[in-house]
Amino acid sequence: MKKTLKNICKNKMFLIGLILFGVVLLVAIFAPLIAPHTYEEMNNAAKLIGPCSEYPLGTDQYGRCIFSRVIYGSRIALSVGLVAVVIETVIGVTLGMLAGYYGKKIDKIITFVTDSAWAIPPIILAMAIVLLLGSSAMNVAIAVAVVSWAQFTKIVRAKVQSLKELSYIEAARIYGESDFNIIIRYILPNLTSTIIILATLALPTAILSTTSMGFLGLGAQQPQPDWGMILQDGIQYLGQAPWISMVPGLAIVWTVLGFNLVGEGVKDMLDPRLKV
Amino acid sequence: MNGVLRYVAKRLIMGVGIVIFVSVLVFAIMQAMPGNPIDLMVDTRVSPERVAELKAQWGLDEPPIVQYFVWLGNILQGDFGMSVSMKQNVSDLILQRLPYTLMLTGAALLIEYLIAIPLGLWAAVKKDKAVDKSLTVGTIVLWSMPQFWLGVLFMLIFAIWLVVLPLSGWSGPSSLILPALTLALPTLAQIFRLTRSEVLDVMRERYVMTARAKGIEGRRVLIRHVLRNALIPVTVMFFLSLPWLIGGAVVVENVFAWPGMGQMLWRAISKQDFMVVQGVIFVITVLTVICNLIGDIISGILDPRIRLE
Amino acid sequence: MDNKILEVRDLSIDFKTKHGTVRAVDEVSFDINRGEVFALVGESGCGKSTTALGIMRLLQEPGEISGGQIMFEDRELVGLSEKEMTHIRGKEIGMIFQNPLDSLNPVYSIGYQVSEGLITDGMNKEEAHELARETLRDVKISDVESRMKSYPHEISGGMRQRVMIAMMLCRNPKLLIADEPTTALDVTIQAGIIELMNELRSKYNSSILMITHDFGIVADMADRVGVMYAGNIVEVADVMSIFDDARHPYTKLLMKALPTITKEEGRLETISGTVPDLSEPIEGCKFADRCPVCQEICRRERPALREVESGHLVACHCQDAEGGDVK
Repeated sequence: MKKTLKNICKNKMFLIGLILFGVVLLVAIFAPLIAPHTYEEMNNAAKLIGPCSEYPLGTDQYGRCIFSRVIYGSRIALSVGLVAVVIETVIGVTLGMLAGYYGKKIDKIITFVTDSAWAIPPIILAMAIVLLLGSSAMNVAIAVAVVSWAQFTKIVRAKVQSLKELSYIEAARIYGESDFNIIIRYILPNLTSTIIILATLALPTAILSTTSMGFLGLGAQQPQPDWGMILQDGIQYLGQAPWISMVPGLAIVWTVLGFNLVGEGVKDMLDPRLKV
Repeated sequence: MNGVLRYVAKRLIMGVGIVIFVSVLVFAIMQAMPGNPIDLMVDTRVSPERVAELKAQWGLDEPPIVQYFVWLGNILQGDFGMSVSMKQNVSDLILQRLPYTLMLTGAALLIEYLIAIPLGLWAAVKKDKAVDKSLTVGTIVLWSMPQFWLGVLFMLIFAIWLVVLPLSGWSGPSSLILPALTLALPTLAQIFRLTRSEVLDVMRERYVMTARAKGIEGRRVLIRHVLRNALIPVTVMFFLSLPWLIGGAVVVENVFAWPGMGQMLWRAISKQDFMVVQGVIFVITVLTVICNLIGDIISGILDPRIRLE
Repeated sequence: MDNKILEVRDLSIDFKTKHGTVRAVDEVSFDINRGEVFALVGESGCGKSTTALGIMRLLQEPGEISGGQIMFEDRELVGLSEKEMTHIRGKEIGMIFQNPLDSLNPVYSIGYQVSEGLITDGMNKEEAHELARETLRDVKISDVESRMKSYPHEISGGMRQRVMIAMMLCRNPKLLIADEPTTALDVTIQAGIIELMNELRSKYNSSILMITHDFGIVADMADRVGVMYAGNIVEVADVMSIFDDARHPYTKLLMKALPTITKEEGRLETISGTVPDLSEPIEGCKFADRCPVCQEICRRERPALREVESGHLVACHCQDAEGGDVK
């Protein structure tokens, strides 16, 4: 335990990532305490004004406080990203284990589906799915998950294939353990570190994808403070009020960078040779 | 040589399979959409008889499976139907916009390849030195930037403040610079990191030691033996990442009002113009499958072991 | 003096890791005469392969030469620049590695790999290919024309090792280092490779430094033998003396651990104890903990390599004190 702590402290990038991540998490939890205004409060007398004491990061075309909107936006970004990752982990890991464990026909079918999923640009498929389900934050999470599980499947499949060859798993099979038991009791525990790494690294990608959908107007709808959407709204005022677009963008970079650094650190600690 | 042909044939069949799979998927999504194309296409004032007539004409009164084959047959003949919002043939619209999308992604690919691979090699050679560390950190930061934000930032700096490059749209080759950089920089990180780690892995290989033991000079070992082998997985990855790049192009085109397919797709989605959505998704998928096929063939050429499988 | 092709004097190689410095090779000295096969034997991890890589100046991070000299003919190799070493490697000193499976580059044809070195010597492509073909015939590869175009994964392990030998022999190096050339191969193929090397040895007239743990190969090939233990050379002698008149307790125990047909008892002896941890400095003889005749001085002072008979060197205090036998 002490050694792990020491390792964490040695890994500066991981530490910085943890701090960035911690700040976002705290901001999301305590948003109402930090934000000076609510995310929907408009002020006709203060449209498109620059940073001042009342509005620390300026206002948008409706006189809404950008600082408050971006603070509340962290809740949407984190929850949507998290939901997407949970769904894609479940889909990806399940398919990967089935393909790797059973091989043969099941493997061929799953591999084919994975390869096909890989061939469609994920954002485009996600756009089509949102078009089908309707624009909302949760539908974006589902769409992003549906288009990004392939990575999990590929890596988990390969890992399970090599695990299957291990003598104690083969022994369990000869001993007559059921496939389900072998997968749950012998294979899954061996996949823990791989899954943790994949999931932590998938989170920043998911946040990038979901905010991209927001940017395209397919995510949470007005007056919800979706980071991507705020940024999109700001483009037409870029010359006079660049803060509208810049601030939510910086918030995304901050969050995604934090997660990426944490993910890298986790990977270095658990399985530095894993190729993602 | 026979091996190469067999390998290509196998990949080709796989590619066709994927295209068919995607066509079923796209068709299914469109079928599941609320309403049907005719209802959306025509006014409410049009008589029900006329609607039925139109439906028959488009084959929409047939069972879905028949509809699918009619649809697929039309697509194979280059007929993607009519755009409701733009009142134009979808295939014409796509042909107008395709060159711009290809130009943008092509330029981004070129930037990625030309920057990421040399940098990856450099970082690997200078492993754990300051150069390596700063490149690694730098690429993680780039990788964390959403393209739509980076694009807006570039617009702000180069088009609004410095006024050296066009803000958006297409007004000659200089318009390409900002969108292409925006598309390339965040995705470049992946190629960089893969190149670096592959080069480091290959450097530990015994055959590199053999080459050095033969008295081959350092730079030649690095290029001919190390990079040559490291490029195999990098190339595979490069082509596998194309869908992501094209997906990024959809976003970037919308930032810069770039007259490509991505922008058209977004407009079509916001106007529920299903025919255009179908057509664009289909064309983009076929393009990615073709690119993946090229990638497979190139890696087959690079790696004699693959050819024989 | 002129007769010597290689003289290694007090060579030390350190591996500097986070957890301290490991001295893998500790003041090793030996020399090889022209035309001679010198075998360096010892258990795995005793530093014999590291010594070989040190001579080639091919140590990988974090290994580095921390002292001593390597005289090749009349040149000092320690301290030569990487560029100067590239002129010596391959051309004057060749090296064959243990595992032929991963010693050949998978993406180049056999012909390319064998002739690559010749081309860097300045030979034109046709000449280089012709010489490559000739050498491949010398290492008994059949159907040379089509093999030149084959890739490493298309040929067997034994054949790959022959290719490796051809690759190194075609430039006729003065010294050939063979690092466990047969360990990764099947026993039947091993014999063929050893036979081949014996044959080529007279044809090419190279001196050979043979790194091995296999006394069978020592008996088949070597003229003289150096026995290594935990980074030290403990005994050097001609091959007959090693088998018949081993003086160092470690060598003796190794000999007893060898299976022979004539041995009466059914059990092989093993050497009790384990190799010491080299990351901590050891004062006395490194074999002291496992030595059956260990004395008090052995733990205090490192025994030097001393000549006990003409051409027979031993590093053992028992030899110094009594000049006689250890049980």
